Amino acid sequence: MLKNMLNKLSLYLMNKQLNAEQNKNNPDASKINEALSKSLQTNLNNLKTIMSSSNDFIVREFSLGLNQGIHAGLVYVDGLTNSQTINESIIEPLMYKSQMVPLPKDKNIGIEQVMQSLLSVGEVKEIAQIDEAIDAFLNGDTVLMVDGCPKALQISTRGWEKRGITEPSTETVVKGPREGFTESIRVNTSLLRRKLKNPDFTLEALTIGRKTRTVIMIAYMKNLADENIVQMVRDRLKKIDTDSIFAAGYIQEYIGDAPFSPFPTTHYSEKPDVIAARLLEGRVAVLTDGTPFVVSVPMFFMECFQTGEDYYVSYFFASVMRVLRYVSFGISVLAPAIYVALTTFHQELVPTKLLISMASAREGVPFPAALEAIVLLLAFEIIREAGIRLPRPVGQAISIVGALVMGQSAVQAGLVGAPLVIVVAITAVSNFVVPTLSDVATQVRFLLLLLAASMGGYGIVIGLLLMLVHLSSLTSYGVPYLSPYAPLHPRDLKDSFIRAPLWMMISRPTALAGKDRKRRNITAPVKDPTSKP
Amino acid sequence: MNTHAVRHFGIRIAAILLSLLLLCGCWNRRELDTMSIVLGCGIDKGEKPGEINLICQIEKPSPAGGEGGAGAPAAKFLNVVNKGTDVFTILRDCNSQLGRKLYFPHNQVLIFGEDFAKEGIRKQLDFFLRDPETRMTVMVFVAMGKASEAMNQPTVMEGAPVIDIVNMLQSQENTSEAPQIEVLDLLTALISPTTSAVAPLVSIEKDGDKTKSVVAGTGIFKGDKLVSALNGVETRGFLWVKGKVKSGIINFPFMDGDVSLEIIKAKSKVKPILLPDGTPMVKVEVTETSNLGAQNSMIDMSSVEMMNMLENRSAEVIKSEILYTLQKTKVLGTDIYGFGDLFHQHYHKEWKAMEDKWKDLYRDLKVEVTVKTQLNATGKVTRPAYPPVQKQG
Repeated sequence: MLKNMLNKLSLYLMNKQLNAEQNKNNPDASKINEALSKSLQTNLNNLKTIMSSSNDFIVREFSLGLNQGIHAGLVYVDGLTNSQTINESIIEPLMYKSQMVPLPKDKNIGIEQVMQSLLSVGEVKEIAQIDEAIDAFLNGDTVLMVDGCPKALQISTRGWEKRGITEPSTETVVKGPREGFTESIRVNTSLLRRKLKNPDFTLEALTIGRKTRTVIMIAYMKNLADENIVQMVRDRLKKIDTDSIFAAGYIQEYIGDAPFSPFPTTHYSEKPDVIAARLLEGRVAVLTDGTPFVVSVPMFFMECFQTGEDYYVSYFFASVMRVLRYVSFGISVLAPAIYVALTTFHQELVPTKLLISMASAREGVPFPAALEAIVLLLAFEIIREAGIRLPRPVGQAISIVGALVMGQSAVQAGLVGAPLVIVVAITAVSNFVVPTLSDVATQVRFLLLLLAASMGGYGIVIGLLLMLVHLSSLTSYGVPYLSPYAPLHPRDLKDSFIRAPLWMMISRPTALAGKDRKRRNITAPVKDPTSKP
Repeated sequence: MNTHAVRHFGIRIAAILLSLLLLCGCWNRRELDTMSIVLGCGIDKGEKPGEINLICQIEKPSPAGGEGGAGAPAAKFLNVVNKGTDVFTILRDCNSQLGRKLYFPHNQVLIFGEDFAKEGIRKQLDFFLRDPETRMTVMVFVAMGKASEAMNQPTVMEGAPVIDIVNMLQSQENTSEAPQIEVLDLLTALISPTTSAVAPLVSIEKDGDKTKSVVAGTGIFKGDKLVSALNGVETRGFLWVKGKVKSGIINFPFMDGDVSLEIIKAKSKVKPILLPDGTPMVKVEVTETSNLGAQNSMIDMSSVEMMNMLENRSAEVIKSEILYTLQKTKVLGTDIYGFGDLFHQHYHKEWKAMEDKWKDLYRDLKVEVTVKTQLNATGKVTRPAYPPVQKQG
């Protein structure tokens, strides 16, 4: 409660201050909202002023018509456009072919006429406002203005250098499709559309970010997604008022449910097949221009333990892997805490022989077990962080230093016990089995370790209970986070701890409750018509 | 108003939950290198009357690392000996002497020296029952001679001699010549007014100039004092009745040679009966299954008649083992089988009259032993490695 109040207060104060500043230094703001003028020169001058005659802002003036009596201007941003389209499909027909078309001699040529008879470009739209024009050319379109006409044409000429479709590095699969999303939102929507050749697949576009004007798209299946959830996504996205959206992480942070929880309440993926599958479960995806990660909501805690691969391999193996992932998450969260609790509180629980070898390893180690564990875990986090940030060739050096100096030498010098090094190593490896939760696991691990160091097994139980209470209090877009475990939906357990065979997956997740709940019809076995009843 | 009440309720719940933090029993933080893991304890009679010597065998951890680094560190042990009048006080001396706290949950063995056991174990047993760190599953032994000697014998496999002793007792399942007695069993027997406590024996055997400890036989207590002992075979006679025979070899002369049968499994049923005239009687029914393990005669034992003869013969052997041990305990007046407790359980009305004179009743107790044996198999071969023998006649 206090937290909320403080939040509101600080937000209010900040807003007040910022608004005051903004009103002072935005003199062009008024012009942006004006309509286009009849005069070509006025329009071009306005745009030039607004764009501060930026170097990549191109204005091309030319004449068209029988006697070249009509003045027109093209406006676009260099580098965002496909110059071939501009040259061959806009300038060429307008300058040369227009001479063969009988155009009215007066200057009041209708822009519709140009659109209908001269331009050989597919996507053309009429616009009348200055801000529309700005949006258009900043997104790579070309704006055509004709003197004497208060309207302009937005011509689709988008074409910029983009990364090709490659295999995503965050979600590699052995047997699944290898393509991944790219930074270009059009490519991403096309990837999804190719998976879902269905009129129900709907894309809604929005622009967010006062300075970046980032294109965001909401994707969902019309009859499968719960309309309330879609509306909630729209509302939350529309509420975002910020100057920049650079990556999916921004969106996740703005539209997530529990901003103060370490657990993610929005999921993401880099793979179109995964997102398409989630859309078919009735979820909603949010695509952001400029990032290969697509956000999906609502999220279940359980989803962290699912991978695309699960559905491409035999369900026995997939189920075993699922269970293994749960176990690994348990290990990565609990192993150091349990080790510390056992060696400093509950020595009677350890088998005698194991305790003796553990005691031998601890002999002569100068630090308490808890401190030893914290230091080693910190060291591991440092090595991991360094490994991610460093250029790849240097990264190898880090792993050598980490493995040799940290592990072997520290044990040989008697600074740390060998069993703890083993525990930290297994913790570190298990951490990466569930990548979605690996940063959460790190936080929970340290918390549990501190509890174990001060209260032993009792502390661990307290910590786990707190975690459970917290998890069950979370919701994602109105859907309980722990679904289908709590509240229990027995039918949905077919895709939880285990992955049931695909032919058993008859219904979509209950908690997401769209209109069309059936994945497949259970038909009676086909009867041979020739056989007697 | 209402929210106020709710808030108070919440505070109360929180207070109750917080107090849970303080109500979780014995629980203490200590590092492994501040404690000494006790593997076994021994109690010997001291020099002065009423004084005892307490031996605690602890693991002496060797610092890891250094040369070699990995690999199992050579387990070394240390016997901490202190004298005094009671265990708890002596342990405090041990702690200060070691500079570390003795840690008892991993204690596996409690050995009473012969002289000490003869004077009575009750007084010093209390610590091992009462202390929260000690376990009820500690194995109890009686050392023939001094406990300190038994705990100092060179070992073959394990580091600490007491672990060796435990392993020897556990491997006694193969011969069934020593009972496995935990502190809890000892306690049960000591509490009972009629049952006599027993404990396996550790003795030291001389082998040239080397010595080694051997686990075989049973020490018999009367009250809390050691009074007699059973040897290995007598112990099996006792274990047949208790149904604790797991395996073993029954060896007897048969026809023109010797036969060894391997016990596969054995069960026993003991039924107390009060005869109409008021005299107690016990029916013991032992069912045993065995395999032919070895024979050195020339006869083919695989025929049905031969196997029947073997079954009958082995039943006789088992019966005689049982009766021999029974007779010995009758003479001693020690009810090691717990027959008295059985009568107490089955005839508790009549028991009140019997309890005081149980000692005499036990001496004259009629025990009817029936043994059913079954010979299962004759091993890989049917005939011995001799040419076929012509049938007699």
